[in-house]
Amino acid sequence: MEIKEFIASGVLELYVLGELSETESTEVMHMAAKHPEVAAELKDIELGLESVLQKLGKQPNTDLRESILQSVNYTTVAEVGETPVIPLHSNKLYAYALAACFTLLIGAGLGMYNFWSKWQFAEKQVVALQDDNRAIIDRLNFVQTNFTQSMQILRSPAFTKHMLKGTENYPGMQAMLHWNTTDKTVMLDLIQLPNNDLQHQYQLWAIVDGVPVDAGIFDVSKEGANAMIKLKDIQKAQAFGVTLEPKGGSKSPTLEKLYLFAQI
Amino acid sequence: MARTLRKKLSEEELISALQQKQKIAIEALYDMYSNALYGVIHRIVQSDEVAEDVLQEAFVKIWNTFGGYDSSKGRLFTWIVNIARNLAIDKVRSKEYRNNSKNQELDNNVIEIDGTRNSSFLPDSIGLKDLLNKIKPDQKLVVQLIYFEGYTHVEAAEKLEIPLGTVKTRLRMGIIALRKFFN
Repeated sequence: MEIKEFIASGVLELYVLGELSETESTEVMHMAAKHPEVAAELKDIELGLESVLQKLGKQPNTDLRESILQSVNYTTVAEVGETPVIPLHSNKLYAYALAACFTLLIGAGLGMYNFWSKWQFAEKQVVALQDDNRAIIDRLNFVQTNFTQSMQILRSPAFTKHMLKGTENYPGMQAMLHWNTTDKTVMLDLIQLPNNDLQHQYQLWAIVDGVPVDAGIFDVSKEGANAMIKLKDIQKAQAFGVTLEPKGGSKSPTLEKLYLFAQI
Repeated sequence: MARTLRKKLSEEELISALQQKQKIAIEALYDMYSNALYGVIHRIVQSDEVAEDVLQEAFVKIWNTFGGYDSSKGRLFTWIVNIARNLAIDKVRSKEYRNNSKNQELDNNVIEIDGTRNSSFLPDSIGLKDLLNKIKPDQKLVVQLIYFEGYTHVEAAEKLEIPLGTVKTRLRMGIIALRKFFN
């Protein structure tokens, strides 16, 4: 109740109008600090005064603005003992400068990212080209090795050539068997034979005294074309045959899948 | 054309700029409050020429004594309007002013202001006469004297021949009525 009476007394209005003595003002300040309703009422009175007086405003002569701007000194601080603070830039200019910095930063960032991605792309291309180059060299070496080996075989008097021809079921198939009569090495040059799948492999058989003997398994693939395949050494044989067998080879040949055959 | 860009800052920004004596502070202070202060001063001194002098004095005083402003004691507007009002009152009470035959006696202002002065106020503003008519008659004079004419409550009590306590409560009720009108 005491607070309500204090507010109702009209003392707050006088405070806002600057009419109170120092002691009375201190009392109002004290009450406002202690009681939020007093502080709120004070603020309402102040805002009310401000809106009333703004509404009742009157525009002075327009020349007065410039005159007043010139009559105050806005580069020095009036109070003694206080370090003068002379702002280098207005807040607005500072904000513009900051915005410009950010724009530059973002611009530079985008540019750098652009260069970086181009550089990354270029580096990837260099790596890809190096890989390609290496692959070509590898391929060349492979071909060179095969060629050298083939030439050695063809030029060696120790090797005898035996043409393996396609059977009735596989006409047109062809391979050349090179058999070294001295060290018994068997090399097979695949001329015409379809590629095998992953579940099957070709198997070479040597017919020794009427019995088929395993002479090694091999694959036919595009990559290995033109390479001679070294198979197992065969001491003696009366005939050779090539069958397609389940992967890993069989103990005895599957005659239905006899692709090539040759009598020696 | 330069006047079309009126500066406006929040109260916190303005206080900070005033403390740093930035140019924008005086510009914003003028653009935001010169009309209100000129209205206050003019109602007291009743002369364009004198009101402009007092307004200039007020801005210079606000600028130079800003170190004395304490935001914990009240809003910036309250502080500056009291400076302007006090300077205007000092002016009308000075000998120089009283001796000027062109000016009316202070006591007469109260009666005269109710007359035909409304036309010179801003187009979008409401006239003081209209505003005072929103207040109960017994409160009206108190509000007019203290709120708009710069009388102290003691002076108003003497003039109207009513007790101090009555002046205070009538002032409060009148101000509340004004606030209601604006809200």
